[in-house]
Amino acid sequence: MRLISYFKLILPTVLFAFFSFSIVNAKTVIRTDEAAIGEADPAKFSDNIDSIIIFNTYDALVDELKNGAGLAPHLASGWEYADATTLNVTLKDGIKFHSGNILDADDVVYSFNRLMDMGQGFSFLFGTVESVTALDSKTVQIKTSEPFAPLIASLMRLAIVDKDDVQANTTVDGNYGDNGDYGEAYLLTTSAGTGAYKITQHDPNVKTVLTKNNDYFLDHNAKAPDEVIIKYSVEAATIKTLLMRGEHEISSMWLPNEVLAALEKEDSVDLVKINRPGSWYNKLNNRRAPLDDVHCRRALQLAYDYDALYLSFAITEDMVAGQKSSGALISGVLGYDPNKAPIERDIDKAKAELAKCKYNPSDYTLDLAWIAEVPYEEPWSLQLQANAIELGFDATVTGLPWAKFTEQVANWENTPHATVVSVLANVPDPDALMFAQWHSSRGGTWMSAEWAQDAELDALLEKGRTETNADERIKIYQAANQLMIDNAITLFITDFVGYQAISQSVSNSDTISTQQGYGTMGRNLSFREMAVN
Amino acid sequence: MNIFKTKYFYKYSRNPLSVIGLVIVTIVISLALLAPYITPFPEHVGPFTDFANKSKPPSWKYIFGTDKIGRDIFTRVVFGYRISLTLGFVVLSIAVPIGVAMGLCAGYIGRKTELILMRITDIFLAIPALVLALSIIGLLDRPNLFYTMIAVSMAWWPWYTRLIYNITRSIKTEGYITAAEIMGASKLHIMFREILPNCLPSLLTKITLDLGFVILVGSSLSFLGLGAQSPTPDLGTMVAKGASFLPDTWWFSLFPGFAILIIVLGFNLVGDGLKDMFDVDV
Amino acid sequence: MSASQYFIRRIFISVIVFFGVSIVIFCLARLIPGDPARIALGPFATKEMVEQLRETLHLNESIFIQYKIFIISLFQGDLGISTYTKRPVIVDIISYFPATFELILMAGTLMLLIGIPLGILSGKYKDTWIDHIARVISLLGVVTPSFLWAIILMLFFAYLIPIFPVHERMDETLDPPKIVTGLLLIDSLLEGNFRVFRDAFSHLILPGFAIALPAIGNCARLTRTNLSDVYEKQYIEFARSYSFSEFKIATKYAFKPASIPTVTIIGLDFAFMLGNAFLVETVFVWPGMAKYGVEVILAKDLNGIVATALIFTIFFLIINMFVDFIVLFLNPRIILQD
Repeated sequence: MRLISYFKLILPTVLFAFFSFSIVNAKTVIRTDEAAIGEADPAKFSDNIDSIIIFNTYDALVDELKNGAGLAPHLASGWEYADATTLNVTLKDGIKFHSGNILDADDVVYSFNRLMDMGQGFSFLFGTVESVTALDSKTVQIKTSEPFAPLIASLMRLAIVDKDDVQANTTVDGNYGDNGDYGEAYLLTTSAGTGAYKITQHDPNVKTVLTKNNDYFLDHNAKAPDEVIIKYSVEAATIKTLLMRGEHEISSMWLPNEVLAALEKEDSVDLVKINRPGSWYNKLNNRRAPLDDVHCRRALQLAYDYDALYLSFAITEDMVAGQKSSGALISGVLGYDPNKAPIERDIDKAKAELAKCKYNPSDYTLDLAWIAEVPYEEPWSLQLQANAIELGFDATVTGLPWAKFTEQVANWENTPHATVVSVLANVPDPDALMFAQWHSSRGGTWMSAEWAQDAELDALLEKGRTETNADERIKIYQAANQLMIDNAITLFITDFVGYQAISQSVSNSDTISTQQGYGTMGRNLSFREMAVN
Repeated sequence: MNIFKTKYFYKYSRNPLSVIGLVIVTIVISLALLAPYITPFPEHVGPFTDFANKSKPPSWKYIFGTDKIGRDIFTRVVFGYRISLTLGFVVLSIAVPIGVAMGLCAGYIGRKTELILMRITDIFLAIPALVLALSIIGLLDRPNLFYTMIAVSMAWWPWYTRLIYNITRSIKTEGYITAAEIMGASKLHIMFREILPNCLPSLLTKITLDLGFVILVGSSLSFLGLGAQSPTPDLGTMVAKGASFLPDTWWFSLFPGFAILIIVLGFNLVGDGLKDMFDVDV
Repeated sequence: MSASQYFIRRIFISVIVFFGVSIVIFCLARLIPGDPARIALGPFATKEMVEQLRETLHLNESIFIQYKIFIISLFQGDLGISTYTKRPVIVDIISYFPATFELILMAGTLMLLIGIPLGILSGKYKDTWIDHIARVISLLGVVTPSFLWAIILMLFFAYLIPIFPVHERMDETLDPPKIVTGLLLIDSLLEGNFRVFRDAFSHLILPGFAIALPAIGNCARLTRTNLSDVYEKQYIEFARSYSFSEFKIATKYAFKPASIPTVTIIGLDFAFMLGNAFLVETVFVWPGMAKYGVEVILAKDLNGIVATALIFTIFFLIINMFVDFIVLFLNPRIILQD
């Protein structure tokens, strides 16, 4: 054959091979978005977006089973209570960190100490833990100062970091004494975990890129994405356009109702309903007059127009992103009673309660707030304003930036009379939801803007913590719930019903069941369990 | 004296655009003043919710449609003009006296006073207005209309200082000034009774033009979340909140946006007309 | 005085102004109620941790000492840690400033490319229908707030006629070019990567226009005014009587003096555009300094606020100096006058 005809044969073949190779090897991507800022450091993570990142790049000893089946060992192979205050946990063998180092008990001890020393993120969950020690390279012993029922569930939030890797990358100059900066700077951009994905790029204000970790100790779904891109603070309208154009796969759960209604009509986009253990509250400041009088609080509780609120959740005729609340215990949390009647408005009873209040409503201007970064909270604040004025109070409504709110809430005189806040359960245990918010020792955080100081409630919550019998615990928490309603500690706007919009390219039973199957905040976007069509 | 028969008005009305501007401004100011009487739903401006009617498109009942809380947007836009105009007038009533006083002193007294005053002015001029206003407000306790007004005034006075300074410097060597000095008139008298009246045409023109721009900056600030608090209607805030819902509920943003456009346009046209009439350069 | 003396004098004044600005912003940032340490650490941190951080940030010392520390750190290139992004402010600036700079450059180019010719057309054919149309366009540009332009442009070119993208700087399915200057257009050209160049360019168009339109309007109006003023001057008539070609008159005799006030105002327009950048970056989710600035202000991040304000001020001062020198070049008499 002549040389030219030879090339004419070879060239197309080579080109074909090249292109099919690249098509076959085209990486699959899932793009999602959330509100800024994405925290990548496992000792600092605290909210939804942080949890999404951490659950994918790190692992903990304990994990949640899908569809409410309880908790199971994850990095652990099992655990056992030596006595009421001592828990021994054994680790699995041969699990590798992203750096290649093998996981052992020292890493667990280091991770715990790091979390508590830095004192941020979920360190507050482990207040009763006295020590975490390595009995041998595969066993960890956790001692608490008193029986602590939520301990296992809380361990979901202790992400295990690679001790050797982090220590090798610690700078001496830092805020933590001998520990230097505790690897803070390093962990800003690198994931030193065992997780199913690694961080390849991280700008906490713009975007995070995760790449599949092929050495993960569990399997990825055969069609799990090779790469995940998380974008921060993208406008809802932009997300909508991107979803419709196939340039985005999973939206955040914060899309406003109008956008969801528009997406519902699109064929290429599906809406997935997510029930999460969380609620929207209008947190009443229990220490600030006139709301330090239980009668005034009850008046507001009975005057709040829950029917109007329900109307405000409507996306379309059939899709309602909310449901009337029956109190603090919600679907997914131990003690939830689906048959309990929701709280309803009764203006006559409200006025009767108001008459018993020692304060004169016209003397007071209620300071009502909503979080400025979450604009659809505003209608709920305005509704409360309208109802408060109905009772004879004067009321102002303010959109408070989150940063200012967390600062004002540090003392009760500055905390608004009522603030719209959403709280998701950190771990699937009623203690996580209720103790942190309403025990009198916990006032002063964004979760406890009520500054609750009800001795009876305290007693119940403390008992629920140490009680080891599950049925007894249910009774205790249900009593606590009723007490909260009777004393109008806070106002319940709705149980959290969210909708996430996903594009057709990822819409399948694997993805949807993952999104709907996990209750812990941030756990349901486990990318390794999802499938790209 | 019939104002329409003066030579000033004659000159002003040569340009049809200026007359249109005057008409616009008059209409807007009247709307703002008469708001409670001419709008269909004045109670929608206060604490009011009607979720059953939320997000309805423009119709005969709700001319501009309703917002997410079921409130009539037309009513809120008209009341929003009140806020915008208040902002404009208050800001300028603070900025102009300060700026003029400083400009007169710097221009006429000269020497050290001039040096210090003008350097301070330069410093404030060096920071872009929006940046300065943002820095001031964003750092204050609860952002609201009052703080916005203070912040914008702080960013605005240097322009008046510079204007008056330039005019003062150029006329302080004029004959009648020297004459007054020789007659023993006090500095204060010369500044306020001789120089200032000559600044009036430029001053008036600039104030009119600035009214539009102050409203623009004010609405930009409320767009960024630093304006009047709910439920008070504020045009910039309305545009901002509506922007996330484009293009489906386009009426949330577009009507308040055009409302801002019209009022700024009106003041601009009037200012331009004054500029041509007085034949000045600001 | 000579050109170099003028140069030195201008730099000296700019430096003084810069320090003045830094003092003003610094004081503003610190005299406000609120505890930055508490905000930085979050609500769950203990009081001891907050105190510890306050010590580290020198928040308990007098404002003079704090300013001194601030200036010293400034000269060492340390602008502190942002309590909002939790990383050094310098890192934030390096990652966000080029984005805004590129946007402003695009807006500035549009302003000159469209504004000046529009103004010249307007001025040359004064009081004809060309003039009227051009004036209406300029006027609309000037009175419409930038954020409204951003929304209108988005509605039109992204939803109704989808030809331009409306978010960020680049399609993320494409790989970004190696970062040399931080300006995507330049970096992609340096690499010869035309696909990225075209993509980055199309992303710059809508936000660039949104920022530029008011400035275009302003520029056009001023060029028109100055040009028509100059054309009315006697020496132009004189040149005409000598039968110089229109073109020669336009470029040699009219343009230079007409452009001085224009150039001055263009400099001021840059400041105007910097302000607009805040709004447009928010709407288009442009990862720039202005969007960062807004977020940092809302989050009360002292270091971030001070740094943003200073960067914009420096930028503005440099532009002003640049403008002054061009004016000098166009009209050397200014130096001689002083």
